[in-house]
Order: sequence, then C-alpha cells, then structure tokens
Amino acid sequence: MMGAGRERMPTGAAGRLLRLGLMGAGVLGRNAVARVRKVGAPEGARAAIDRETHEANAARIFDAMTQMKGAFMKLGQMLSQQAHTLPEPYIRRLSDLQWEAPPMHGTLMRMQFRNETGKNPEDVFDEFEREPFAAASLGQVHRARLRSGERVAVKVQYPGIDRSIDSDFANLKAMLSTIRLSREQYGEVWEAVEEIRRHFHREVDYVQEADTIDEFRRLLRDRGDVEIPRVHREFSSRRVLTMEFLEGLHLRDYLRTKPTQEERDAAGTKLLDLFFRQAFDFALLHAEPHPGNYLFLEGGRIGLLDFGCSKRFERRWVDEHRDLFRIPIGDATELERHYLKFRFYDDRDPLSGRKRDALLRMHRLDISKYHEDRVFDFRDGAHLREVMESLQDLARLGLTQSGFVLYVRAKIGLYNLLHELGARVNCRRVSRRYV
Amino acid sequence: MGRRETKKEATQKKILDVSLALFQKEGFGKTAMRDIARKSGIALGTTYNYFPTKEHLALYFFERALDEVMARYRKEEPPDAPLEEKLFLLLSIELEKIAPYEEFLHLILTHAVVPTSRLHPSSLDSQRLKGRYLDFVGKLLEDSKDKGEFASYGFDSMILSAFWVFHLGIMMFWLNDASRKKEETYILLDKSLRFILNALRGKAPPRGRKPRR
Repeated sequence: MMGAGRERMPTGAAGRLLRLGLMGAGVLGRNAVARVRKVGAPEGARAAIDRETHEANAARIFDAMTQMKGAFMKLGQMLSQQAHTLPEPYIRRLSDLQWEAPPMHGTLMRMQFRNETGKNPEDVFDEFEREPFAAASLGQVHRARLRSGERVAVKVQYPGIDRSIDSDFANLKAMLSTIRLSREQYGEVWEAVEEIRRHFHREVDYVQEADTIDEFRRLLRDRGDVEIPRVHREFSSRRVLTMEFLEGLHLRDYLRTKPTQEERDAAGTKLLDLFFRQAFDFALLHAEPHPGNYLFLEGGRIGLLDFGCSKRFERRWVDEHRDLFRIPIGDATELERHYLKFRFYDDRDPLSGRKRDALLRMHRLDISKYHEDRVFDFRDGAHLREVMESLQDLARLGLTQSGFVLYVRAKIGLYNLLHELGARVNCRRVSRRYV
Repeated sequence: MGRRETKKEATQKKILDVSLALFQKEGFGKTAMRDIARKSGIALGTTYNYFPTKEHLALYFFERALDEVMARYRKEEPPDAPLEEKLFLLLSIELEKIAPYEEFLHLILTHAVVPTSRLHPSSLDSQRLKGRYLDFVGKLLEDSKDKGEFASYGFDSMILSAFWVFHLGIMMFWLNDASRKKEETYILLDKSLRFILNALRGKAPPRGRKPRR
C-alpha cells in the first residue's frame, strides 16, 4: 500500500527533515540578516554581529541535534572534539551534547532488550536497575547482576539508530552548509564527517564491539595493570551489550581523591604507554578519547571502556609513523624525504612548501618530547593549544590522510586527558619501547 | 466461573482459533461458516449459536484481545512511571498481542470500511469495544491527575476521543510498517507520546525555542 514510499523513507526522516527544514530556514535567515546588518557597520560591531549570529545558530543546531537523538547526538559530540576550527560557539554547544542524552524510559528499554535477546531483563538477571547509570549517546547503560552474582553493565541501544545514520549524515551536511565557514573550515569538517560516518556504521554494531573487546583483552592479557571488561555474549546482541562491571573512578572523581603527583605521573605514563602499544604494536587503536571511557581502579590500574569506535591501521601507515618518531628533530632533509616517500605531498604540489613547513613545525612541537630523555609536563596548557593549532594548519592544507583523523582525535584526546590529570611523563622512555 | 461457562469459553476459543487459521489461509470473504464448523468438529448449528456471522467472530477476537491486553497491562504496570510510559506500555502490549494476526487484520480492514458492517468503527459493537478501551485509558489519565501530573482541563472526553484516533493511527502505521521488528512504529509511538503529553501538560518540548514575544 505504502511500500514504495516507505522504502525511500529512512527512520523518522520526515520528522527530522521537517525540523531541519525549519531550523535551516532559521539559520539561513539569521545569516542573511547578519549580512545586511554588517553593511556599513564599524569593524568592532561586525565582529559582534558575527558572534551573535554564530551564537544563535549554534543554539538552534544544538536544540535540533538533542531532540533528534540518534546518530546526530553522537555526531555532535565527535565533531566538537574534532573540528577545532569551527567557530567557538559551535564547539561549546556541541561539547554540551556529551551530557545531554534524553533517556529511554524503562518500558521502551525493556522492549528493546526483549526484541534483541528474546527475554525480559528480569528473566535473565537477578537484579536489573530500570534507571540507567550512564548515558551512551547511542543508548544507555544499566547496572545489573547475573544469576551467578557477578555485577554487569548492560548497554542498550535506542531503537532505529542504525537505520537513521545515513539520513542523519545527509541532513547534517545540508545543515552545515548553511553555516558560513571558510573553504578550509569546510574541508576539515567534511573530511571529519565522512570519516566519522564510516565508523558510525561499525559503532552501532555491538557484536563488532564485543569482538574488538575480546581482541583487546587477548592483546593485553599480559598487562595486569589494564582492565578491559569481559563480554557476556549469551546476554548480548547487535543492540545489547552485557559486560563485566568495572569498579573504578572516572577522572573527575579520581581527582577528588587527591592523588599524589607520583600517582598522577604513574597513571599518565601508563596511559601514554597504552596508546603507543596500541598504535605501534597492535595497529589497533581505542579511538574514543572521551574522559568517561577511562576508569582509575584500585592499585593504580586503568580501566578502558567503550570500544565502539576503535580504528585499525594498515601496517604501512604504522611504519610511516614509527619513522616519524625516529628521525632527529631538525633534520629537515631526512624529514622531507620521508614526507615525499609517504606522499604527504609531491613536487608538483603548489602548496608543497607550506605543507613541508607545517609538517616540520608539527614534528618539532609534538615529537621533540619523544626525543629528549626528560620529564614532560602535560599540565602545560600552552603546549596543548600549540599542538592543536599546528594540527589545524595541517588540516587546512589538506593533509588529512586516511586514518589520520581518528589517530589525531585519539592522540589529542589522550593529551587532554593527561593535561586534566596533571601528569608529568618521560615520553622518551615510553616511546622507545615501541618506535 | 462455572463448569458450563468454562466449557462454553473453550468451545468459543476453539472456533476462533480455527477461523483465524482459515481466514489467514483462505481469506475472510472466502471462508464459510460451514468450513469453520467442519474444521472445528463442532455442529454447524452450535457454531451459529455462538457466532451468527463471521463478523461476530472477528468482534469476539477483538473482545478477547482487549481482555488479555488489560490483564497483562495490570500485571506489568510500572506504578511510578509517568503517563507517557504507561500509555507506551499499553499500546506496545496491544501491538504484541495482535502481531501474530497481522494478515487477518489486513483482511478485516477491507470489511471494516463497509458502513453496514459490525466491524465498521461507528457500528454499535465497535463503539462498545471502544468504550471499554477508553474507560481503561480514562482511568490511567485519572490516576495521573490524582498524582498531580496533570491539571483538569474540563475536556477529558475530547482528549479520550483524540486518543482513540491516535491509537487507530498507530495501528494503521504498524500494519504498514516494514521496518525490522516494526521498530519505526515504536519510535513513532515513543516520540509522539512524549510530544502529546508535554503539550497536554502545557509544557514546551524540552529545550524548545524561546516563546515568541
């Protein structure tokens, strides 16, 4: 009866499009008003108008994203961590999304659980808390207890998310094109959106996530100081993931326990070591840098959570990055040979000079701490900002190799974490084990 | 229930089960009462005593379904949940209840549009069913009001009539929903209940736009 129409219509697309249409109209309208207001206005006033317009648009986009939930929410979060060149109001608004997932009520969650596993939560678990204790933007996490007495965390996905991804991304692109950005900014944003979209399809599949968790557990089985929750496959599916519950503290709570500087340094060193081991030994990276995905456990152990967004790298790419760490700082000739060899640019590229300079700057800034046998202080916020700016330069020049976006996201996320942790790390001692 | 009633109900249930199977296989129009009687192993006269027409059979199906839905709802009701969650539960139980009979419902639909049919939404029989259902929903609404979830608006009967239309709309959407496990219906149900209930509470949707001055 409605077959043909229905096929064309992705989940909730009508509502989403409607809201987008309304919102897009508002954003476009405000841009137009701003253009008119700016004519003949003095320099200072123009900047204020721009700021005001961005502020209003950001609020509007934020509202739409939160109400649509689905892939949009998650995308907002990721974009906020990624697209550092977006005007500040967007970043701020988008970062807010991290804490704002509207929950499924108990009945819907229970139904989703039943649809996925064929049983009600109370038939499977001894205890099951109807109220989620954590909001994952693609769903929510509930505490439960197995019949064996073991405590578990059960992640339940909001229905229909997987079906809405592509329409959400198409909508997002339409929406982003109403924001006035420079061409470079668009370039960066587009690249990021595409990379994220590909990973999104993986992330909504909890069976894949369970496989990744198992792989990480296997790879890290020799590390008594790193905990990765065990998956209970018998109570899991594509949209339900039941895992061991790790008792630990998130960064904010950990810091409230007033850890000593030595403890912070030790935790920081462990985290950096973990990053290198993943990137260079495993060529597989837990690429979700959200601080909520790290737990600080008893005895200085680290817990890793959320493996939905892990990234596998090609060996060639890993070797290339290993070389980058080996070439001495300031050896411009050797570095340039490296950049050409790995086709960061070629001789005919009119931007090759600028690209080389930007890469050299990045190398000096970021990699030098891996060459000097001394403690590097991640509390230094200026350094973090400089690294970030340098990365933005690379992105503006189009130096966004495949895999680069997620690698950078993970690395910047880690540096942020080490900064907030207030850790001092001898980076050289860590990196030389791997590069 | 006396032994006679139990036996009566068992016979009715048997006739219903056989007819549902036949309707699905042969179609509602092509199935004759004679076929139903023969297949049930019950005398034709007795079958007619219980169900004078096939439409009576279909109504009996809905009647029973409603009883079972209400019974299951009472068992599963989350006492402290807001009204949108309770209504979500009620409608999702209804959908689960009718899920095995989807084809039958499609067949019934074409009959229900005939104005003289007992299955037509404005027939006396349909109205009686609707009344029972809305009484039940009305009680849920009253409970919420007693808990202070809503103010009294003085147009509760209109709200209930509107809910009936909404409920039929959800059923129609469900019948035409080709998504996996009909999840689009549940998404629609979840979002629209949140929206409607917020509107009834006189609340703007969460984080909505500023009111116009």
